[in-house]
Amino acid sequence: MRQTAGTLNRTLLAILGILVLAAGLALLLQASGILPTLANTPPAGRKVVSGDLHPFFSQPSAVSVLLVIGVLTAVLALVWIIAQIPRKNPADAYRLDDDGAQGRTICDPSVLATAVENQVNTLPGVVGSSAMLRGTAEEPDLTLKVTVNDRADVRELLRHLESSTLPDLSAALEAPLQRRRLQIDVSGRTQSTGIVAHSTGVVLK
Amino acid sequence: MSRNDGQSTPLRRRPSRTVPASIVGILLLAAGVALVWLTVARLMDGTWSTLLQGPRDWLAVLAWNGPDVWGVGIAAVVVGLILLLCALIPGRFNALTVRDADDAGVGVRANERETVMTSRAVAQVAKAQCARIDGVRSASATATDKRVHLSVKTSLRNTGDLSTRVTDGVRERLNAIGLDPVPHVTATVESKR
Repeated sequence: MRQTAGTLNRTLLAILGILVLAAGLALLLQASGILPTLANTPPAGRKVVSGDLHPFFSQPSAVSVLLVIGVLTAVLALVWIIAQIPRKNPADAYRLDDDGAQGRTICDPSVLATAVENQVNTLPGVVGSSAMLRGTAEEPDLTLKVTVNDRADVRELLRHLESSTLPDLSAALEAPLQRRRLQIDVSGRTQSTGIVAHSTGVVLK
Repeated sequence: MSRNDGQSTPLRRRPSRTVPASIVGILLLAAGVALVWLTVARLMDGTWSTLLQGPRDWLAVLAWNGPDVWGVGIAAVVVGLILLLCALIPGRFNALTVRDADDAGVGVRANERETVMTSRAVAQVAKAQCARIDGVRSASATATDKRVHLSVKTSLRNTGDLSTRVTDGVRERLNAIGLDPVPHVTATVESKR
């Protein structure tokens, strides 16, 4: 239901990996003396810092540049860390009707989501559900998580959803669903609502 | 970046690499804060912190072909490869696809539907189905997007065809649910009396 920053993570990890790998390879080539023969770099035996660092780092401009680099690194890293928090990414209020001078009708998607959950919770075998509406009133986007017990008839549940719950939602919005994503989970708990009772056994004659 | 466009994303997805991303993010944040702290202290005091004396002395004697440079280079290559592998190894899907209902499509465009069952849910169903089979004393199940493995304990002296009955029963149940494709089911039977 919640959304994570998978693409961002893969992209940044790949970029950082390539940069660090390239830097490491360059260091190894320099240390082995191969790089100085290929490019105009100092010989392998020379010191890494040939002069005194103090005059360079005493300049106010160098300190300012380091400060900016530090601030940028810290801010970008903080943004990346915050992006790891899973987000619901909910829709704005649905604007069902807007006639200008006549007024307008808006609906909080969570109200419709609760109605969907209440209807789904009464279906046979359903232990609980969670609905999230995204998109717009004209192009609604439903993500539904349904938790069923381990004996539930999943095909029957899907038929119920497709034949009653989803059409009801579409009818309420007067628009077809743009997307429907359904996640089925299984729980050892029993149904708290509805009238379904399962029993098994062997009849001896 | 986390999305903020009010649109859903696929429920069946690969790992989002949150752990390596968080570790690298925290390290970068620490480095940035340290750099800011050092430069602000330099601007206020007029001299660099004495903490930098050690690195300065180390850099002053460092030669390009010295063992320290080799060490830093090898460490960078290893870290770079780990980061690249974290980014490139796709990882397993978190859920299995379920066939939609035959009469689906009322009010929903055919190419905009997704029905999945989490791997944990599949394992739970497999375990429950296994526990209903005669001769099974207890069972545990693990599931990935491609296979389901059951560890069965039985009181039977001769386990015989129990393994086959278990795998057939669980496969039949997963097929009845509509998993597409049905994962490969395996079982190990341990006799415990």
